[in-house]
Parts: sequence; C-alpha cells; structure tokens
Amino acid sequence: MLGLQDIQVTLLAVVDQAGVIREVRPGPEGVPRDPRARSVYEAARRALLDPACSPLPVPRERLAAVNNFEFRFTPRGFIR
Amino acid sequence: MSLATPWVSRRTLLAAAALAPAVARAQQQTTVIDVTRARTDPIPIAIPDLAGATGDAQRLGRDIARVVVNNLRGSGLFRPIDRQAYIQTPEAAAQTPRFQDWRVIGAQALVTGRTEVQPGGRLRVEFRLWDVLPETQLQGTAYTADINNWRQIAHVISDVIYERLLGERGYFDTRIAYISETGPRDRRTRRLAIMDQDGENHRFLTDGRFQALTPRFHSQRPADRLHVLRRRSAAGVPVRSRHRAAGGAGQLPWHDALPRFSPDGRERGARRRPRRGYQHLHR
Repeated sequence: MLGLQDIQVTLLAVVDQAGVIREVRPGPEGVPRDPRARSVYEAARRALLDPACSPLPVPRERLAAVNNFEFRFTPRGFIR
Repeated sequence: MSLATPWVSRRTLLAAAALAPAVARAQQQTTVIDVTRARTDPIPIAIPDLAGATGDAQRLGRDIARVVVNNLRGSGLFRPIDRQAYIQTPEAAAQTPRFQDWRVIGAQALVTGRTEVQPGGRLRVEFRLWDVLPETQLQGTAYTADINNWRQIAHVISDVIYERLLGERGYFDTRIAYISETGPRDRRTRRLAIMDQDGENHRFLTDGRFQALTPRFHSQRPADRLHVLRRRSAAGVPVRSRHRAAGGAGQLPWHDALPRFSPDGRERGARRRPRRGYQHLHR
C-alpha cells in the first residue's frame, strides 16, 4: 500500500462559463488501484463535486477561455 | 512518408492539419491546479435502517444500522446525518437510491441494505455503500451468519465502510480481553473478561477461583484462542500459563511469566522463572 508521501491523484474537471464544475473524470493515469490512493481519488472527486466548491474562484475572463481544469491532489499536507 | 501510398499520406496530413488547431486549443484551455494542503473533515454519511420484509427482519435492520452509526460516529471521522432529515424511506432507498434526495440533505455517502431472517436461525444481510455526488456504488456485499451474531455483522459492515472510504483497515470488529478486578485490596478477585470494542457482548471467561493475569490473544486465531496467566492464590508462587479455547483450557508444563503466542500462532513462548530468580525465554 502506498504511503501518503507517494500518493498523487489527478482529476479532470469540465467547468461551465459560470465556473460551476459540470463533470469530473479521472486523469491520464485512470482510477488508482491502490486502496489508499483510491480513497484519496474518491475524496477528491467528492470535493470537486461538492456544491460548496462551485463556482470556482476563477476570474470570469479566464473562464471564457478555459473550461478544462486538471486538479492534482496530494495528501502530503497531513505529514508533519 | 511512403511514395507507394501517397493518398494515405495526404489524407493523414489533411486530418492532422484539421485537428492541429483543436488540439492546440485544448492544450491551451487546460489549467493545472495543485491541491497540496490536505485537511480532513468528518464525512457526512446517511445510514437509514436496513429494510426487511418481516417484523424481525425490520428490527434487526434497525439494530444493525444503529450499531453502524455508533461505530462510525465514535471514530470521529464520519458525521452520521440525523435521520429526521431523511427524505427517501429506507425501503425505497434499498430498492434504488434517489440521489438528489440524499444530496440535498448534505450526504456524501449513503448506506442502504436489506435483512432477511432465514430458516434455521440464519440471518442474511445485504448492504451497499454509495458515493452520493457522482452517484456511483462503491461497495456491495452480502453476509450470512447465525442470527445471534447480528452485532458482529454490523461491526464488519462498519469496517468495510471505514476501509472503503478512508483506505485504512477498520477496527470495529475487535474484541477486547481484560482482567476484571473486584473485591477488597487484600482479597482481590481477578477474572478474565472479554467484550466487543464498543463495550457490548461482555462476558466473563473465568469464575475468579484462580487469579487471572496478562491475557493475550492467539496471533492467528484470536476468535477462539486466548492465553491467560493463572495463579493459584494471591500469595502462591506457582504460576501457570493456560490457553483457553472456546470450551476448555490447556496447560503448559512449566512455571512461567508473560506468556505469548508466536507470530505464526503455532507456538507459545514464555519467560521461565525458577526459584533462583533468573529468567529464560522458552517455547
């Protein structure tokens, strides 16, 4: 099983013009198979889909040009 | 480029030329965001009663859900949602969860299930764990056991939920062995006792006729083997190690202290303490 320092999960989020996340897909590596990394992936997916995270705090003019975001989550912040 | 098949190359080039701006635009339109400051909040989880067709099944479904709620709340890592807020009924949720009803009350995870009392005193429990926001099933499992073991099934379900959502093994299906001490200081009665990790299913394994000390579970078969040091009297030196199985007890041939099972569970080890006072490790 991976340690916290080794885990990084990538998710792709499609955002509409208002900054609301409409779709979340796994990144190029797919859904992790390691149980711990998979739980991080699913927690990150829940965070992105949580209504509290929308709209994203991104300038409106930038949202007009960008509608795909790649989020890279790492739980290293837990390690002190 | 192959001269023998120029039309293929031309088509490939034309296709590439047509796709190039789109690919470039897509690459430009992806922004990478690194999230490195992890923090943890309790996961809001909805655990309605497990559905059942009969009165007994409904009662067991209610009891199992109550144990799971208590386990997860006690861990501090989950926040079970007050069932007064539930919109969908347990029976309907067991059929097909209406995710918008659970999303609107703030649930991120949902547990549904069904209990069935079978002939011969058997209990079958099905449960499903759902990720509410992406509307996906994370786990679906069924257990069949003696109806008297309904509480252990609840602990196992709690472990599965814990492991599936946090990536770490759960600890709810755990029993604690300890020495109960009662009576005045000069005439203590020490009894070996065992209970579930939540304090339920408590029972005494010895009756207090001998002093029981330092209980140790068997490393491989903790469910039915337990080591206990027993002493004939409070002042008596002879100390014997006993292992207690489900129904009886065995005895080691030496006087010893701190008995333990080996990691593979095949042997028992102890420190031998003859009257001269020095110790040896024995197995």
